[in-house]
Amino acid sequence: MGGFSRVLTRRKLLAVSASVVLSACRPLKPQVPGDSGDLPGLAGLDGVRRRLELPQGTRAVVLMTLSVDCPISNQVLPAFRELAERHAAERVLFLELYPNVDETDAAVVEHRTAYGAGPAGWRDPDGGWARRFGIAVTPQVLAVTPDGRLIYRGRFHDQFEALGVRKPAPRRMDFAEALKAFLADGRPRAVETKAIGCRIRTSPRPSSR
Amino acid sequence: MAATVLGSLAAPVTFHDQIAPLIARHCVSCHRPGGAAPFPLVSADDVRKRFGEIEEVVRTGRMPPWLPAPQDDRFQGERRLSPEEIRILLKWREEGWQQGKSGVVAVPPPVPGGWTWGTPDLVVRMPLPYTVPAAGRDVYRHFVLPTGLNRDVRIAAWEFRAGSRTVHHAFLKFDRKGEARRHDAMDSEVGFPGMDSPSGVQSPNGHFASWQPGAAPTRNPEGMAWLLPAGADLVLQAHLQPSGKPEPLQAEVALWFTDEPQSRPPLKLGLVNYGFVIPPGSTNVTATDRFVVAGDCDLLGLLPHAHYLARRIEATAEFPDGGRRQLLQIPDWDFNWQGAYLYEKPVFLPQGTRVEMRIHFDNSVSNPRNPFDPPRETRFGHNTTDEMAELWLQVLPRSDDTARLLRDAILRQTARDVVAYNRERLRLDPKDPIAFLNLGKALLSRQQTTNAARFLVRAVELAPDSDEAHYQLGLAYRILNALEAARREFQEAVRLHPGNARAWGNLGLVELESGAPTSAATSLRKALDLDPGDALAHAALGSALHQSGRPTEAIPHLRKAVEMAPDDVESRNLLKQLEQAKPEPGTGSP
Repeated sequence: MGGFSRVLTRRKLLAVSASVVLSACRPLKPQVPGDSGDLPGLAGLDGVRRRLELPQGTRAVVLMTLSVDCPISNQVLPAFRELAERHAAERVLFLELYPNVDETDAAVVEHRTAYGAGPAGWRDPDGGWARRFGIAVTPQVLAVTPDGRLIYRGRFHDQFEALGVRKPAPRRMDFAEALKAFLADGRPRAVETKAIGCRIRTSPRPSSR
Repeated sequence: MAATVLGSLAAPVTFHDQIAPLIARHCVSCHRPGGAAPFPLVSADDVRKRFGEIEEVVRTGRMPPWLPAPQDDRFQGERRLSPEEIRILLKWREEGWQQGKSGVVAVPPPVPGGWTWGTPDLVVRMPLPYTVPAAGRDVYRHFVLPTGLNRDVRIAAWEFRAGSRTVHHAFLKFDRKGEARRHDAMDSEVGFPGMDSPSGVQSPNGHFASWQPGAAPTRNPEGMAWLLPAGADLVLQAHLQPSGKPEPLQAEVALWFTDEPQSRPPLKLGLVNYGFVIPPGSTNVTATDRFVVAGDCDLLGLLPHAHYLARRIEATAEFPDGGRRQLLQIPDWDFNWQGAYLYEKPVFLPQGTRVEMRIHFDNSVSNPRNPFDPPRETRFGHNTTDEMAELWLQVLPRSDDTARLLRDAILRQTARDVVAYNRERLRLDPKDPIAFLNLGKALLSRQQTTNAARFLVRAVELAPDSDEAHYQLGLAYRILNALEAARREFQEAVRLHPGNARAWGNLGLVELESGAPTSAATSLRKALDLDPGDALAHAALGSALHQSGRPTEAIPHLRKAVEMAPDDVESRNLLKQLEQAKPEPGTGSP
């Protein structure tokens, strides 16, 4: 898919590290000074572009992609939020990322009203994050260390085997297991699984002729 | 349609000319604003932005959701894209999403008033909304919808309005004994859980009454209206899927009545297997069952049922002349899209036809729906992680004679299944009072009374508050002529449930047989207050009143008994005797 390989390239490590920025605390430091200028930005739900900020001592940054009308990401969302609550005291920053460029801010806000509060919501207005990190569907989980090493990328759990193939309940909580392993010893293992969901739309649709 | 599509392959594909009609035909019944699907597909933009997902699900055949493979005997409402239609869809993308005249799908307008066949005779609604939880496992729940009917009605058609996308499928049942209400009252939540309905809750006689998203409302064929008795509640058995946020559910059912008699009553028969064992890792276990058709009939439809380990379901007919016909083949069973399949044209099954069900299980990790990893040994059971193997047939007998033959065969098959089913329940739970009760009842019906009494004694021990268990044990004792023991059991049954008419009636009979006609008359009057249509209670009350020296009071009950059961010779003779002894004014008796 042209994003991460199993082992992150140095440039991509920099991309992760430079795009996840500490504000009040500390910005994620790029490994090579001056190499962060081409990284994609994020936007808040008010449409204003901001740099992500990490509280001091953050051990991991976790995001899950969402779409306002993807039934799979909607169904997975409560479990993601429950996990976020469970790890609230463990210095893991959870985010919810809306990567579809054709979803309006208003639609996202409406979605968050309907589905309740959770970790902070962000937009990926240019689809830069999705392209850069090989995020292809909603829901998909990405977990990195503050210095940009990959902990996990893939499905939240294995309830969905393919579009339209659904188990009665998840057999494996893949991401929760990967995070637990990371928090136990601090070693990012770059675990990857296949995420099943709705394809992310990172560029405006071609107009009809 | 094929000609249109093939014609289209040569011409440029536009949304207006080819894609919109295709979407209208196969998708918009669910994928429209407010529809059952999670997003609409009503414009070129809608289709284009989801084209990747659409391509995947139509190539794999997962959408539109339709499980049976194509076969000679077609089903009503088949939802399947032809290979040509898929090629057209892909060509639209290859040619750059040409729109043509319009980028809009023609969505059928809502029917006036919202119901398909005009104003219903009755609309029943869940009295209170149930909140489907945001997350967690799928929910299997029954909901009671009181009808308030004070007369029997025949249902010509019904329509289900879920009002929530959480309903993945539902069965419409009814209950005239208040069993569902009792279950509902056990906690403060709306409805009660379970994939298995309580014993008093039944499907409409001879009908499947099944609903799934996108299904057309059901109008029964002429002469096949089903009876909804006075005072019965409708019961909705629903499979609900959490959507990610709490969702209120307050479903409605619209009913259209008919005065036409049920001139062509269909019958429903089940092919079931309770005894299979699916070892972990196995891919070759098959559950089978068969039924030999006892009289000429037409097969109207089928309803298969299994859980997540089932992969392939087949039904075949072997005819008396040696011919063979595929009735149903589901190559990739999906519990989430189960439903009933009704033939466009009924399939004739002559007497002697052997109908066979074969359900193949895959308990390996390569079964993507296997609930367990590593796999576990799995047997019959009502949890979704257990398995089931059922195929229900709806048949229409060709004559009254064949109807009788078929009913007898179905009763025999059912009695066999009841024993097998409840033995399996006892294997799962050796202290299951319902299983002991059902086995006792089955053995009673087979006239194995002593053996039945053993099971029923155990049922009473395990469920001392079950009036049904005491009632059935009373019956066994009465047949065994242990009248005092029988009287005690019937008395306990009516103490526990004063509305149990059958228990009052049998208490009266035992009292009569014990030489206590006065108390018998009291009990029998209570039975008749509760069920005035009980011919046997009228006969017994006539006899009790006669023995109590009240012949004048006895005569109307004996008349009623003879009127309701003309072959009751004993009542007829007693009535004749009493009328001769004391003719009533105006009776014209000799």
